[in-house]
Amino acid sequence: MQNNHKEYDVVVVGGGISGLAVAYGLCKNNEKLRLAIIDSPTELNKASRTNVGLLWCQSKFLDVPDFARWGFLSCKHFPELLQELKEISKIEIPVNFTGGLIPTLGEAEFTQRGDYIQKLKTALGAYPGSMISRSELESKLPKIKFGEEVTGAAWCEEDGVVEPLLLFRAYRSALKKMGATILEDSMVYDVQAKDNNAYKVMTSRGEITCERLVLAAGLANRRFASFAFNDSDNATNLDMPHNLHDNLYDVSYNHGGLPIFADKGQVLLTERLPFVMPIPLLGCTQTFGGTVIIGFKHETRGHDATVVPEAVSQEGAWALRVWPELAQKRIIRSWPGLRVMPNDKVAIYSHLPNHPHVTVINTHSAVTLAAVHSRYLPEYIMGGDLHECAENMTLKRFGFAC
Amino acid sequence: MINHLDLLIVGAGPAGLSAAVAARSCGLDVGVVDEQGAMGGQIFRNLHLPFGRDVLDEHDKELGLQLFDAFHASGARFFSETTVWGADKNTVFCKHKGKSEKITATKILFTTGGMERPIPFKGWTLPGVMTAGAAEIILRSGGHISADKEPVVLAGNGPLLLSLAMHLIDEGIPIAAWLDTGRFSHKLGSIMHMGSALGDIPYLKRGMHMALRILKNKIPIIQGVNQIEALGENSLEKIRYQKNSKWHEVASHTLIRHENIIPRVQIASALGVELVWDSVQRYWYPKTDEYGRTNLNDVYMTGDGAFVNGGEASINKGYIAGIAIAQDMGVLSADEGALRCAESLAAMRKTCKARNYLRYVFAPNPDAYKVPDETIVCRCECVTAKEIRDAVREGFHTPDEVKRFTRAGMGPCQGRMCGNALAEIIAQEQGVSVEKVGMLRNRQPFAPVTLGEYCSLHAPKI
Amino acid sequence: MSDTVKIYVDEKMMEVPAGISVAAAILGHSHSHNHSNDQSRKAFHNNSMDASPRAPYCLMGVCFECMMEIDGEANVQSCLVTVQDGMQVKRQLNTEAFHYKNTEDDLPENRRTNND
Repeated sequence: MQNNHKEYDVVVVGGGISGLAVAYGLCKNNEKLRLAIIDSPTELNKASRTNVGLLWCQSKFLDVPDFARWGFLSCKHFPELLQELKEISKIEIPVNFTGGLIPTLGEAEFTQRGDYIQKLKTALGAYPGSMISRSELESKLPKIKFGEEVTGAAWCEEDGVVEPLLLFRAYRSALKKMGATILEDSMVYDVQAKDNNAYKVMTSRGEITCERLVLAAGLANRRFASFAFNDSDNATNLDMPHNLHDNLYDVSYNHGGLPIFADKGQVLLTERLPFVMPIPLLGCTQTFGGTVIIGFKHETRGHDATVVPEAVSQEGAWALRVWPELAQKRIIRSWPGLRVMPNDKVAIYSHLPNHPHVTVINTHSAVTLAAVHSRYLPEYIMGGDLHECAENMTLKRFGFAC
Repeated sequence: MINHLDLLIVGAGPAGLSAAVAARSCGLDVGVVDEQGAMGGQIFRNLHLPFGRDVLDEHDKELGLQLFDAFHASGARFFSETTVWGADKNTVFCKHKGKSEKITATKILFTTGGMERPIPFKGWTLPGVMTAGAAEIILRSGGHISADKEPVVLAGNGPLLLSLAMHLIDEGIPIAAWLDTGRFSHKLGSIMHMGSALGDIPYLKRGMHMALRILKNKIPIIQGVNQIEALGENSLEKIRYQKNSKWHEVASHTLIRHENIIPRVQIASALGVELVWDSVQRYWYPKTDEYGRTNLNDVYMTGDGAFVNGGEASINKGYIAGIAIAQDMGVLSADEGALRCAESLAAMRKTCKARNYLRYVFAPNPDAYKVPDETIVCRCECVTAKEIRDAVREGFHTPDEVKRFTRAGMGPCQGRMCGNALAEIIAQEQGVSVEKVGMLRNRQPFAPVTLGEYCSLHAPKI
Repeated sequence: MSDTVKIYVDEKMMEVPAGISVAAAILGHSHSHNHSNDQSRKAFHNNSMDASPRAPYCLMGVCFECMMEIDGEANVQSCLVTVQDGMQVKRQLNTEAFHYKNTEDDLPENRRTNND
């Protein structure tokens, strides 16, 4: 696109899995919608390209049951999303809806995990999973010789795994076929409100105006959303001196601006193995390419995204306790990724303070939640309500007025 | 486990061995590692074995033996079959016979050399298709290239093809055809630079001598070949080639393909060493000064791995780097350093200048990268040129993006064999320069290492 | 010190010069007049994606086509290993062409599919 000035109904800043998912949903609802996605040059850290593709709802968010429900809802709608994408893009997306397993090492871990799941059952009312014994685990994955310490696993039948890069590619291809404009390798320099109902986005490809703006640029949302926080009186604690012991990543810490941080992950990738894992194991997952991805760490190191062998080999050492045969398998690649983590780990779906036509989307589970992002977020973006599961996921919970 | 070294040299070819001699002469503690079973790199491969020596001409043999003698006398330690798979500040991680070790050194010099330029063509993955270097290694291992002196076919444009041809003639191995892919215009253009070659008469003489032998042995040279195909069911049976839009065929079970040498830059890329593009030779090389210093503190690179100037230049480059490292460590004053490398520096500059015209003579034919759609580009993951072009059309414009969405470069060779072609094809599709497209980003591990070994080195003891 | 060593390639003994690499030994010292039997042109391994026959291209450690099982260890680059007396070398020819999906046998019975 060489035009210097273009008008769209909706502009989505950020062409990762979140941006693509909502853009797809928006275009699907309204084929006449004029929509553009802006995606930055790929040298910048791209969370959507560095993940395993797990569709994971089990065993988390006991304290926010709605978020757990939101995940299960997405897993439920995933098959139809993939079917639609396949029809439009003609791209086959490998996926397993065979459930998911979290192996436990030792009795204490087994009990601990079991307690957590019991509490989840109570909080949610219904829960499609349970603890299984080691022998049950072995019968689910008969081709894997588990290490001695493995006592069993948490099993959930609603989980699965998808090939994330093909999902990504299918979304993009479908969007192009549906008439969306994708501006690749483009930088966004500034976002300005034109008047109450329009926005100006200054990009390396020229100026773009839109009626509604979606910020789905992951960690970069911090700078794109800042215009709403700078001119509002929502920032608190401006006069208070900072304390060396403040935990930057604590829910209660308010540093002004969008409450998200970079959560670092690193993975090791092995050579191709024959298929032995029809049901994904969390932490060492065999991909559709036959390789095994090992990694599950969460670290907070700001934007530092270097691979630190000491850290990643702790994950490797864990994987060896679960699956000792991996010791002889060769690592052929290793890479880091920065997860996009809201301060309280729950997704952020929110209009910005004083800007009802701007929606910000941030979550670290963008692959799992792709189905509900496509299905339910467009309504909110266009001025309607949030799905009931996601009602409390706006910025209000952090003390912002919106 | 070895003690902390002053200098660790990765690569025991002419540059590495020479650097070791130089550094040892200044009193440094020096260790040299190489993934190969013996020292010598490629040019002096198997010099320690009789057939390794017999294949070389007198000049090169003398050069190599002298270097080996100097190395053995220097007291530098050599660790063979040791593959470096990772590096950190002043540290290198390597494996030897299934066990991994950490080596620390104040200075690290990478002299990992070059590799032959990989250009995909139809059937290049068939057994029986090999590089000139591979054929050379077979000869230096006392082996036969083909069964019962069956004729072989040479194809390409580069110095190794010439020296291999000499060795084949010596061994009495018939050459059924020599398919020259060089561009005549390049050869013409190089005449402009030939003048500088007069600075190195012995080298010129050797070149002429080689040319004469080729003529004398009546080797069928076919110029202006622009497409090559290797055909066969489970291994090579025949070769088709195109010249002037006409296709021809020649039967053989051995195709030796060579398109000059390029620096091996995977380690430089993974460590973040700045890379520079050579538009004549169409390769990336690490940015270094004449002494091998890079933009990274304590990391040096020289030899063919820094820029391809050949074995003789590498000996001088290595020597200079060894002295510079001693100087940078404060063991030598700048004056003494300058004194000690004066001779090598002068010789190196002379050699590089004299042979610069070869950069043009042996420049790759850019048409060689117009890989047909159905040809496999990424050998490891079987990704064709068409899949790459489709990905570019879908909007994936960098080598890393195309890699993610096609799997090209994701196999064990980590893009060594397909990286160049990948960038060239992307550049063609987009109508931009190869330089602008950039190259695949490498990361550690530099070579595959088992999970067990990786963790044993890095996992902190709990 | 002998000038030759005995190695075993797929259990067949080969006497080769000492000091050379396993890959060079097989490529250079196991020819046969009968081309279809020529051990030097027989695959060292089958590619893990399409099972095509592969043999060394570079012989110096960058192409990864020389991978064989050596003394029980799989996927070793045989061009980087020096021949030793009694070495057991095996071609890795049992790879099938690779598919993205599990076969029906691998998947559990009561799984959901795209049609649910």
